[in-house]
Amino acid sequence: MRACIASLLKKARTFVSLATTATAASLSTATTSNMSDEMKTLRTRVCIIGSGPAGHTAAIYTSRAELKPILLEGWMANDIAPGGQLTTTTDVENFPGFPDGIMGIELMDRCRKQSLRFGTQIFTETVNKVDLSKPPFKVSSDSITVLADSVIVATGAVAKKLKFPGSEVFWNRGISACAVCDGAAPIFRDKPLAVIGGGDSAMEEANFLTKYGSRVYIIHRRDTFRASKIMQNRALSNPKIEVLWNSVVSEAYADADKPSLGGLKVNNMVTGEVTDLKVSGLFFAIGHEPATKFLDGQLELDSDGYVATKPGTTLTSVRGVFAAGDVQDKKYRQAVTAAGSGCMAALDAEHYLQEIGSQEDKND
Amino acid sequence: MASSTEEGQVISCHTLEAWNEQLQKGNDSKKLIVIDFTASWCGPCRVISPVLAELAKKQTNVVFLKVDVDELKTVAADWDVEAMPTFIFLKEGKIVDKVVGAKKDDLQSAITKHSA
Repeated sequence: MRACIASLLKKARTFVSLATTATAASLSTATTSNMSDEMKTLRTRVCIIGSGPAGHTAAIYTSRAELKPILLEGWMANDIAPGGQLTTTTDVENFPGFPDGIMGIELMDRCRKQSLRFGTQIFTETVNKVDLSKPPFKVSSDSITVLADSVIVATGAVAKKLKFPGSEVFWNRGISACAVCDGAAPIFRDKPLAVIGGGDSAMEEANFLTKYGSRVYIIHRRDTFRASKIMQNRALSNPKIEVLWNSVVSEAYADADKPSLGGLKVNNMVTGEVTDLKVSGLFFAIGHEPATKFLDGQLELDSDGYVATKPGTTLTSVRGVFAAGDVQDKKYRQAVTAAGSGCMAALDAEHYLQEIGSQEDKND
Repeated sequence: MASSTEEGQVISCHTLEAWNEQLQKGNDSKKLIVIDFTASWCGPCRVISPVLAELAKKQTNVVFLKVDVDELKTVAADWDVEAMPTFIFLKEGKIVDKVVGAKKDDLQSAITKHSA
């Protein structure tokens, strides 16, 4: 969604305005003029696709290794601003090093600044085509083509959301797609909460949320869960969890006293009954969509659509191409794990470049 | 007559007085008015901001105003703004179009359509 919801207007916590003037300056520094009609071709040892924590950590490491990386941060790629998923959230309280928390946009601004500091060239371009058949690899947007000796794919994933009346209005105001990220928020404490989903994630998140909420409803559209038996049992044997089978949410509405989520209209697909469910939180746990369409099948993907990497590394099915962050991580999906894998990708890329002797060619 | 210092720029309204003044001025000029409802913590708003500035430079026959929804909460509420950015197109006091989201192409076509 190319917009931010007004929900954050009503945040309880005092909002300190970001130093947007400083960031506006940095935003304009390295961006190319994409008003030009000519296709610009650039050459680099490392091309990084993506601008979340994985992409920028890879940029910081490769630029410090004097590899002169080019990073393509995307112009509203996948309807998300440069910086990735963290730009769609507010307080980040679990990224280490920030005891008072930090706003998602601010954290990514700092990452970007750090990438630029060590010489990363950043272009606000969305990659729509790649040719990974042979080196130098070609990475293209509408207005530039980058020829790269190595590529780091760090395009992330987006949590799937459902659309129904109220689903956007209450986004970040009771509705979230990450229980781990948001469950501990004060608006959910000791309140009834709901999770939509039927897989392992939904079971996991429902269990997790019972630590904070008074009651957790799992709303599932079928009459059986897809989740593994062990996860199902854990959820079903939790006294705080109640399952609404064959059910879908048709509407989200406000609380009587505050401008955040107060309840849901739940439709039972079998009986046709529509009930009102009083909840302060709703969490989508229906899967993530890794951003791999632009790869057009040139990298091996796993059965869930994530870029397949050799365990313990960021190596993909193509030698010289590496994947970091959520695009290759179905399991952890946290900012700090993405940053960690961005570092791994940089080191893997550096090693690879040394192997192919590109380090000797320093005449640019 | 638009003041030459304001022509070609997006005018930010930081107070209710400034807002009312600019709105009146715009309506009196009979030009198309494009209002950008924005927020400082909104990623897509920051992405579309330079695009709007470029459009303002080129289309001096259109009035461009900017309102921060945290600064002018009542204005945002009056105009039913629920998501940022929201661009409202006014002609002689009437809403003729609305674009929600950082949609570069929709913005350009709406401006072209209503400023003809």
